[in-house]
Amino acid sequence: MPKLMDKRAEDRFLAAYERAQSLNGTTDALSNLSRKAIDRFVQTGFPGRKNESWKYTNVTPVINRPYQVAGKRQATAKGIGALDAYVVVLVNGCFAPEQSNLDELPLGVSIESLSAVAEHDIVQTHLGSYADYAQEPFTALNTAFVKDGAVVTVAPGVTLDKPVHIIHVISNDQPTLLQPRTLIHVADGASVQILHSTEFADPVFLLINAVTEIRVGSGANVDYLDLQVGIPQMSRVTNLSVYQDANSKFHSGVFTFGGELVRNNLSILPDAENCESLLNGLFVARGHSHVDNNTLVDHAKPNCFSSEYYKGILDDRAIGVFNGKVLVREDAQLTNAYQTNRSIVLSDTARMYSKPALEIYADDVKCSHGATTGQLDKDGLFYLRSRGIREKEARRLMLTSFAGEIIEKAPIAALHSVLYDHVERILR
Amino acid sequence: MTPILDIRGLRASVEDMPILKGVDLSVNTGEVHAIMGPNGSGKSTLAAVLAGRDDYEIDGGSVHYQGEDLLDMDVDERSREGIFLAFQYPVELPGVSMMNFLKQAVNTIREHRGQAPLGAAGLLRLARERAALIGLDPRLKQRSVNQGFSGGEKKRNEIFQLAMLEPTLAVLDETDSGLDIDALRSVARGVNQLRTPTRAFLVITHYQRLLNYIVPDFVHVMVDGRIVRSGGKELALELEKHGYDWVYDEIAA
Repeated sequence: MPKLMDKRAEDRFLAAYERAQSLNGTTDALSNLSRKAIDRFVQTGFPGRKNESWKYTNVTPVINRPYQVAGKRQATAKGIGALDAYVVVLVNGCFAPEQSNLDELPLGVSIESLSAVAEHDIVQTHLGSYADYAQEPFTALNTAFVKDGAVVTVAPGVTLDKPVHIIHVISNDQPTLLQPRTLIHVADGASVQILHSTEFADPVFLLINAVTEIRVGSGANVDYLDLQVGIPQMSRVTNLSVYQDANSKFHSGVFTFGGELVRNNLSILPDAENCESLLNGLFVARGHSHVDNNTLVDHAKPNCFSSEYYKGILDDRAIGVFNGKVLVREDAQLTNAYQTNRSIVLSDTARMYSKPALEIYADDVKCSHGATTGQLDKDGLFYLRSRGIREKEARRLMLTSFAGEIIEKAPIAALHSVLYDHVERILR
Repeated sequence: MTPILDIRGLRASVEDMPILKGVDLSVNTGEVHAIMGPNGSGKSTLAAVLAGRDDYEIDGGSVHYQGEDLLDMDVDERSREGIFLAFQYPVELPGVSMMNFLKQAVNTIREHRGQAPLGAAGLLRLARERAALIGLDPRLKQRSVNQGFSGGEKKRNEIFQLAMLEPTLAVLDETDSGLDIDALRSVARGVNQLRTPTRAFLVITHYQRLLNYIVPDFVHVMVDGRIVRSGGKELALELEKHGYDWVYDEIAA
């Protein structure tokens, strides 16, 4: 990317796009989508503070850095020792089959490089169908630059015995832009657990703009965990778009531990009857970290259930944002939708903006939402200390218990201790 | 003999409102002292000040515990030194599991006493034994601390913790309030089994009925922030018979 800082940020990203096109182009099969997406991005530009859903999150400092588009490099994934999984590694967004153990995948499951299967029906039909690049500028940007990524397909009725762990390894010595793309297609009656995580070695400025699309077939069951471990030099915009067919279950856990600016867009569309959607999230932020969770559950059809629970712990000068919307459309009678956001603010300078919202157009529904933000419970702290437990330990016990309520909901039990370790590490 | 607890002229206030107006009390090891008094007399404030709650301003006087200045110690330090407060309103700690909580508390205190920490099995064994002593439903150990416990279960849980932590001075703040007669009996039975020559109790109560089961060595009557009468266990019976008005009349006289 040219390092000209006198241009508008949008122009610099556009220039980088054109340069990438002239060098190696997008895969033919994706060029049409890519072109439409960049056109849309040029129209919308980056979201400003006037955009209601970006009111508390200012991306200007983050997009005004001279990033280079992540290129091919060598790096080795560390993985998570405690987790027995089918591992897929992408280094700087490119498939690294030599570090993956895909040959062990059971029949009916495939994980492939997006560039290799771009012309396949599943990609042509579904890629870009759920992540709305018309509405979301960062999604448009990711879609415009799309070249490689991971495509996971699970055939009808297949149940995976182990989780799939998609690891993005980032290797950079200069400020870098990485735009991972993932498509997960789970056919009718299939069942899979997926974990996404990112590893980076060097504390160099990094902007990750990830898009993941998941289609959950009818009667299918998908657990999706996003483990986001940040450093103060890393910013991340993640767009997760989920489409659910009838009688399906989707369960997400989004865990954010720090980062300079983190924005998680999660949108779920249960587009048929009897869907169950569980959305859980935990963020722990210190220093100058800014973490924004923006979620939408779009109940379009009757008889669906959704339950959302996000918790945050903020210290120092960290800022947290929770914008959760549950939309119940006119047809979506007998919807049960629940939403809760609880945050603990540990310092006078940390802030939490919480805006849970229900928008209901059907008349026979059960919905509730609630948000609380407060300090660590003083009475609880006194109680623990009155039993001999030192203040520091008492605080740690209360905070890990607070976080634990979300951790214990994470569907991959082998990860619980890993998640607790991250909470303790960041609060230490 | 140095008293285990020596309170002299203790004055304390909350938001500039004086509550304790010169409390004198001396407790020796092995003794059970009851403090009775009408609502608002300052009984619970005394308990809170002894435990180290910081909502109260200490305006004067002194408290010595085992010869040391108690008011100088942090809340958790007091506990490690052997003071235990059974709360009138035990706090719910959602997500903090009973066993994790007990492990932290027991082992922090054991370490302070120079004892080896208990492992999971040892702790479980001790918890099972002490829960049986108090009559605490052992299944409650699998829950979060006090969360979803009934009023009686919460009070039992306080005495259970007392049994686990083996304090030198236990302060029971209205442990009888909200208990039916069966729960009261079983809590009292637990307390009685924990009476030893090396442990003192300060039992704070509004009603005499608890003292039918936990028979005190001394009874003190607290009115308007002061101990106005002290005597043996028969004083409690007199109070029961005549009510607190009798004490007011006596003071006035």
